[in-house]
Amino acid sequence: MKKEIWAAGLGVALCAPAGSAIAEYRYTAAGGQTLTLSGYVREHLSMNLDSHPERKANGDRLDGQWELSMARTSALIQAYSNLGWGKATVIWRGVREYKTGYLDDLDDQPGQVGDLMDKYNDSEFREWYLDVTTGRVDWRLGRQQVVWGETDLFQALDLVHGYDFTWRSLIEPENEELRKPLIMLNATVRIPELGGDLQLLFRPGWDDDEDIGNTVDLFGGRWAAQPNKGVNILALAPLNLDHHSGDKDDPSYGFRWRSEIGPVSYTLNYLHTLNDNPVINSALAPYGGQAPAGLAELIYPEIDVMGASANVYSTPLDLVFRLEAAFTPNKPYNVGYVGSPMFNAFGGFVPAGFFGVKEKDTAKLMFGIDKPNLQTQRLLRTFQPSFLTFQLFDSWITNFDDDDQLVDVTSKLHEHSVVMSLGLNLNYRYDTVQPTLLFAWDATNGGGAFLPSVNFIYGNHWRLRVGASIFVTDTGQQNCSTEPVTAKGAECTHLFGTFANNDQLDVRLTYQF
Amino acid sequence: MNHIQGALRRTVTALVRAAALLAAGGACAGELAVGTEINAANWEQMKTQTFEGKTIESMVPDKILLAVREHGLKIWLRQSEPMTYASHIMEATAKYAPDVRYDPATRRVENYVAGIPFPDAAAIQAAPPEQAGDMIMYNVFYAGVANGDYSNCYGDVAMAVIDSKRGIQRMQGGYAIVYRTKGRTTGGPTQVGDDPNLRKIQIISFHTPYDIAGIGVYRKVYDDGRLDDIYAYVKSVRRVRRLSGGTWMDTLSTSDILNDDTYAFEAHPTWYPRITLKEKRWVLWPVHSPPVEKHDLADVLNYKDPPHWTFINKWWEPREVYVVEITTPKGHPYGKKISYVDTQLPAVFWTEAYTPGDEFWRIIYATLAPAPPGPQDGGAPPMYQLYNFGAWDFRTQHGNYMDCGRYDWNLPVKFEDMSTRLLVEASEGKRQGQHTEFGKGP
Repeated sequence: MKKEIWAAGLGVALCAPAGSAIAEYRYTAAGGQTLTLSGYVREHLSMNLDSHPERKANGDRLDGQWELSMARTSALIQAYSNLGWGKATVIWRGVREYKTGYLDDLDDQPGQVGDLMDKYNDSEFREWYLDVTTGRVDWRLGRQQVVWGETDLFQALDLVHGYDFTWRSLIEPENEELRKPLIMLNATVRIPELGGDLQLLFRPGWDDDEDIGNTVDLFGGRWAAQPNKGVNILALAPLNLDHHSGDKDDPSYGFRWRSEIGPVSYTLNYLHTLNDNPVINSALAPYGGQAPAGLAELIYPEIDVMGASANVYSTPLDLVFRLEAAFTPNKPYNVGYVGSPMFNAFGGFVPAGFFGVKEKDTAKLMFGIDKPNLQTQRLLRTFQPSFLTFQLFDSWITNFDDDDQLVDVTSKLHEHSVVMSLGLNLNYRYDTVQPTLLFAWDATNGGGAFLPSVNFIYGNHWRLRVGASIFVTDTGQQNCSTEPVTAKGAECTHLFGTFANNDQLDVRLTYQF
Repeated sequence: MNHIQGALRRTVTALVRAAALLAAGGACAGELAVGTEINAANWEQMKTQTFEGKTIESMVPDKILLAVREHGLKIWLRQSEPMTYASHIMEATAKYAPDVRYDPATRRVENYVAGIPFPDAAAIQAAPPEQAGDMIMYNVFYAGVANGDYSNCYGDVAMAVIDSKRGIQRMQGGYAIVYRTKGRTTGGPTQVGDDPNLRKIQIISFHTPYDIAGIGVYRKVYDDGRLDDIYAYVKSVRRVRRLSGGTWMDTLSTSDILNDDTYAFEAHPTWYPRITLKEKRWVLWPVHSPPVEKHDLADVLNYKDPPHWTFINKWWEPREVYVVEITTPKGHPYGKKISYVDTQLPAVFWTEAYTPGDEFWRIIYATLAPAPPGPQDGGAPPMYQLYNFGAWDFRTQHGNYMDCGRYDWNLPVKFEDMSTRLLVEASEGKRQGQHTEFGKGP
């Protein structure tokens, strides 16, 4: 039976293949080798709930409230083959977005270059790797994803890969879809004599520019930080991944030791890699003795990260504790926040952060508590116990000095930046209705996000998720968001402030096979 | 005339019936033949007949009868034969069982090494009912027939989610591996791993459909009463996550069973305040089904007809069982459980679950098939495969069927291979198991 569902007004058809109840395709060769195909076709719509205050060329507000900010059709195919002597995996994802009226408005803004849709449309063999075991070593060779640490939502030890926050910023539940795979040699050596295993990672430096570090929307798209909707910052400060202090062709490498002591599972980690977020290398104060080609450029300097993570279950408390600590000596930060002495010295004509780079020792600390079996069956009439998770995440500059005038977005970076999060997963009707509530709060600067969603499971193939992203940006003494015309608020905009006026309602329909 | 005609007719009818019974049941009138089908339509005729000298109705407890009469469950008779265990298990039992001690004060077992801890049926019978109940369930706990030193049940219909009115709602492909770390008898030391109280490692993981591929649970199970150490792989964030050990009395995700219902009994006996032997009796139950080979789901489950959850098995035989009442602790969803455990080998056939108000709620059942013996097994099965395994929730009219599409057992797998890495591999579509050929699903 062939089913067609027409996404309203988009002319996009999702075609379900002839209905096999078993949700994958498997083939076996005469020699016993197998090929398994699985994946999905997905339509994902997102609607602006706010009016955007940025101005168009004619002076009108950009607005865009109730307009679609995203109409994204994607397909993913995962092919897995057991060859007998090894296993091969290839994951392809293709994305085609419909240019909504709102995206068209963003693309029409002055300063935009090329077609904005080129930033979203994509066809990519995201992962391709071979697994081979020799003796006590498991090898994985090729483009892949490696995840370290115990932290949700943020990155402490989990710096092997960057994330692509341009098409969906922070809030996609499957972060494997946002993580940017890298070409690596990944060897896990089993050492039963010491009761653990040692993972060795080596990235030879064969990746493309866009595969490195976190990619944030600097091109004025739907997830550009307010007030930059429609503003292409990359025209002013392009990416440079050939800077000699941050060269993507330089190898990255690291190791992770994983073992257990009594009831505690732990890891010890070291990684040499490129910085997770880009910093501005300004002509005013070039970093590492290498000036940008123009006024400024964005670079990802190389860093070393060392740390540990642990988890333990406490029987008397019936709680799981998660811990993570990652230390980066000399992590690069831009200096000169709005209102700082060096910013004021230039009369406000030079943007925040364009005053050079300062290296500071940084610790990222995470403390989390999970209650995986919260008994909500009677109180909330859930089908089974619910999952409650709490997390404190602190970015601590251990040799902090006010005189450095470090920048966070455009405003002052504090010695500690603490974000708390609380998540609750519920389940109804035999796990086929799954509401999730996620709340994050910036304890240092104020502001936060509330992300409710419900996932509906229909049989083996159809999945529907409806969610909202509500950002709280106008509370707290330190949190506001930059007013586009007057630039008022630039002195107090932190992470959640960049999401001001960008509340979204999204609907995602998936046919999986 | 009418009287004479009526009497004649009755006589002829009785003669025809008797002849039919003779033809079906051999020389002894009322004794049913091997292969006889007992179903809802013929129950009234069959119930007073005998098989191997016992009446049918004496061997079909009321909750199984409910399934026969109302859900289309059919019983096909097979001649009984003893349940046996491979020679290495029986030798370990003979060697180590004499030293095993049950301490009534702590309800704990001391000096267990390998084999069946309490093989002496007479000692169980002689013990006070509450101690006998513990000893029976310790036999299941340490030496239950459903797992060898290594067993893996896997397939495309690892779990079918069934609505008794609408049919199969969802299917999940996956595997369930049990790796015995304590009490090994297939070669090498009887115990592996660092922790002297680690009894087994259990991994249940799904590889289809796409959104749950790789979602699985890795469980370290201990024999000192400690709660399990549990890890889960969360595929969408590609991270192994620690879970609570306190989930043993919670619902197994998406299913109609609790975690302690797995294999019809899966918990440490001391987690329950009291386990009491109520009686010994005879039941009909399949324990010598043929080995699990490639099969279509329709061969083992009548999913086409309501209530869509009735299993198909043609090899029922009389078995003597212990009827054990398990009193649940505070907070447990059930008020009590009643398990039917074979008296020859530690096999739980089915468990009846009751609400705290003592209302009948669910049946979790497991029919058995002897695993074909290998060269070292002395001609007897080293374990028993689950031929049919599922749950019927009579209150919600919802159920599950767990199909072992294929089986591997007692492979030479090393302890260090049993790591959370297996969960990660499942997320990439890798199913553990030697067989690649499967029968058809619905």
